[in-house]
Amino acid sequence: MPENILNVYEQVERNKLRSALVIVGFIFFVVGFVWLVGQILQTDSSLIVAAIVFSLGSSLTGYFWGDKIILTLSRARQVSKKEYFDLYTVTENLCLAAQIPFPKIYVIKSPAMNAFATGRDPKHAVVCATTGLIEKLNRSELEAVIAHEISHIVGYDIRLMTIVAILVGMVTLLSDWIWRTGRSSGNSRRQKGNPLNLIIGLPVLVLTPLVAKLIQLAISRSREYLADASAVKLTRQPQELINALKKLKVDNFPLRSARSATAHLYITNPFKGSARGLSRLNHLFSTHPPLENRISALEKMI
Amino acid sequence: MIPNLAASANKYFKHEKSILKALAEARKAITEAVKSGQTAKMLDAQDMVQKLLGSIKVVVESNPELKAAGVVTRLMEELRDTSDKIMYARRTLIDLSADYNRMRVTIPSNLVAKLFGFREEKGLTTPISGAHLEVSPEEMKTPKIS
Repeated sequence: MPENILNVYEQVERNKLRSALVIVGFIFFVVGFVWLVGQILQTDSSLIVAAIVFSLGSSLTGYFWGDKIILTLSRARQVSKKEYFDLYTVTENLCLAAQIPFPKIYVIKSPAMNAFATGRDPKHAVVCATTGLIEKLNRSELEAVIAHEISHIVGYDIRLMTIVAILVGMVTLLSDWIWRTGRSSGNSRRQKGNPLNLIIGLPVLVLTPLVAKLIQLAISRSREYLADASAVKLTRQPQELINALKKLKVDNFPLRSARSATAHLYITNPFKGSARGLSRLNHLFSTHPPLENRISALEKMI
Repeated sequence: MIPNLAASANKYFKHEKSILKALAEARKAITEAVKSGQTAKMLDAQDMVQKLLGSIKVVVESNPELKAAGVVTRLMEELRDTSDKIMYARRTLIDLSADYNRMRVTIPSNLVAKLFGFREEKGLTTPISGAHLEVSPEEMKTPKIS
């Protein structure tokens, strides 16, 4: 549940601060980790330089091009007013109410019902919905869902969430890569004799995704309640958001183009209904609060 | 744009003019029946409506791609969106003036407001009388967009 009540400005400041902290923390984590590895392996300092370049590079990428990377990964396409009249005009109207510039509108072609917002600030923002969502919700319910995404934009949640998505993705890639090189050099141990790679590779494999996942969790759970509440403040119709969430709950199509690094961006867990969504461990590490709790929180507003 | 859409929607509806005529007759019959207060007449009117519903169904079923449908839905969508935009614009004005007025009277911002003589904002006012309530003949003409 939401911890203490913040107003929008406090929330914006906190999200900006947290975005900066995540970047700084990430750089320290990567550099520190590589330094430790260097100490054990007695290598030269070129490894640390590489770590600094990598962490700086991925942070900058996350800040400036995170939205584009996420949209490409999700196979989203920019659409016009003619193609998706309701989605487009609903977003226009909500931007009027929220007093933010009009974001770009993207659509993912998928029967799954989901939506997300990304970007670094309201001036560089994107709202993205799946075709399944647009087809199965009526205009008022779509309005409620888009209002939820617009509140993520207004509160600068998108900056923090986009950066986290990119950094989590980078860490996952890196740990994958270290694990593979560790294993391949393990195979050729007879020639080179370097079992240390494996010894380091193992904790990297276990630890880094775990840390990344924990950050993802800490960031997204309470945020959804806050965005739901702000969405109701925009539309003044809690019932429509409740109806939309109920429809989302029944929907069981997993969104194929979602990655575990981008899961926390979506309005509901994109893996529900798939094997990944059903496992107990995944429920414990869920990036989203249960829909029932969100619905009952909204029902108190009526 | 909306008046034009409405005009073209009307043109399409001319095809179903006969049904509209029947509909009007049925309505007339119903009002008459209600006025007279006789149950028998009411039953007659009910029959009429039921027959009419049947013929409407026939028309809709015989032309599954009613040309009017596309234009009409488009018109409805545009209308809904326009009314939504007006609603949001009005509410934004109300919200902002309410926030401003609250700031103006609460500590500490009221000190600044007093110092510079900030006036109270009226918010959304709906005038009940005035020239805008009368329609001039020029305003009755529909602007034509080709």
